[in-house]
Amino acid sequence: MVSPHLGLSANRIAVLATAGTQQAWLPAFAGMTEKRAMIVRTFATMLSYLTCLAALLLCFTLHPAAAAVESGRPPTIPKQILVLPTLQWDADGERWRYAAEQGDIEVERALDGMDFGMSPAQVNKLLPHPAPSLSFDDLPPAPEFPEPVRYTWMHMMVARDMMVPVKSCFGAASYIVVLFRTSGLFRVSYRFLPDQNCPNPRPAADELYARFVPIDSTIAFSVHYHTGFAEVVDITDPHAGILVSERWLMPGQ
Amino acid sequence: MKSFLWRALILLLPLLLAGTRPEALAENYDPGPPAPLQDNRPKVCTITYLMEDISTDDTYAARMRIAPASEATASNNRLPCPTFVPERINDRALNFCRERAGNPNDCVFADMGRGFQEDPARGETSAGASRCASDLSSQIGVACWSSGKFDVCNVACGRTAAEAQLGARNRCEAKHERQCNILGSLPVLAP
Repeated sequence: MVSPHLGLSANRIAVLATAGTQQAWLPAFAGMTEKRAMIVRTFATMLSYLTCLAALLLCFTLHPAAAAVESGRPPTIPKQILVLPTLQWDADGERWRYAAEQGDIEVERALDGMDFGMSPAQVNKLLPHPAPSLSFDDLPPAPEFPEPVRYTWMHMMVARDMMVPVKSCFGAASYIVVLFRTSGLFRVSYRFLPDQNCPNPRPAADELYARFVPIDSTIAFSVHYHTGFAEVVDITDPHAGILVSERWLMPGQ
Repeated sequence: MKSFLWRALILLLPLLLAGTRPEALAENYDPGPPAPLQDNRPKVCTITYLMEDISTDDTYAARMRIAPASEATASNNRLPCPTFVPERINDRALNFCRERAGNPNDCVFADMGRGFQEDPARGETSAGASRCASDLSSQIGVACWSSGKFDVCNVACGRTAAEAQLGARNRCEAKHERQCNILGSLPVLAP
């Protein structure tokens, strides 16, 4: 049986129709002989496949990884550069000063409102879960320091506001230690630990550290080091005397 | 026939999209040299150094702005940098890194010599090759490869970020005969 409208056999129409998307092509075959319609359809199908193949090849060749493979080079990895505060030197290159004057506001901003010299009670109000009261004598001692130092601590997970610059992962056990001497707050120590979900917390430590490096070291002294499997970023009051150079050692190190 | 055209357009869509991927735009984006100051005051000489803490793979940039000599005249809106850089400026840059490191000996200038990874204690690094001056370049670039323990790097200057990174990469690959695919760059002048 031949369709009076399309000039195609009923069987052929059924094949075309069951091809799903081919239905949209049917009007294009109007007035053609079966043989011609077959040629057009075959040509169109081949063109479709070729276009898809070309698109896939183009996507692949434009991808940086593919470009790297083609050139025999691995894909590039960005290296973060930590920018220190600019120094201004005299013309003879003998004396220097910081080019821009900074103040406590930079520290407060970076430490989410905390500032060096604050009492435990003042810091307590800024903590995510403040204790009913907090005084120096209530706090546990940190015997590793050469003078009386006491501390409180919190998990990084609960101190979200202090971790704003950090986008990378860190282990759930990572924590922040807030250290006081009798004259007040002198250090905030961020200790990034790995776990199963985050075996490498170094990028997180780098992101946090990058926030503090541009601060003049006469206002806040920032250091980054690792001990054991912990990545540590310490922000210390530069006027804390011999305590400034003290580094935390993970137990067993 | 109209539906045929639509179908062809849909099939060609990936081709069109592939040509506009953001990475391609980012790689080709070239900010060029910094625009001159609106007040037309020439830029004071800045020498930017790169240092590396090999225990943490932190790369530090220290910008040293140097006051112009009284007779200095600007060229291309930039004041000249001294041809001889006093050693104390090099030292100050390295000390920035040392002060912040867990072990000060882990801080080195970022342009490292051949075989540095085998004996970092010898400190085969170069202050002169780890800095760029604002009268001659706009960007400082660094390229590194990972030795497994720390990044081994080299530095180059350029008029653009791409040029500085490529220069550093070529220098690193020629010196260490490795693929240096860890790349970074920074403007020499402070924003």
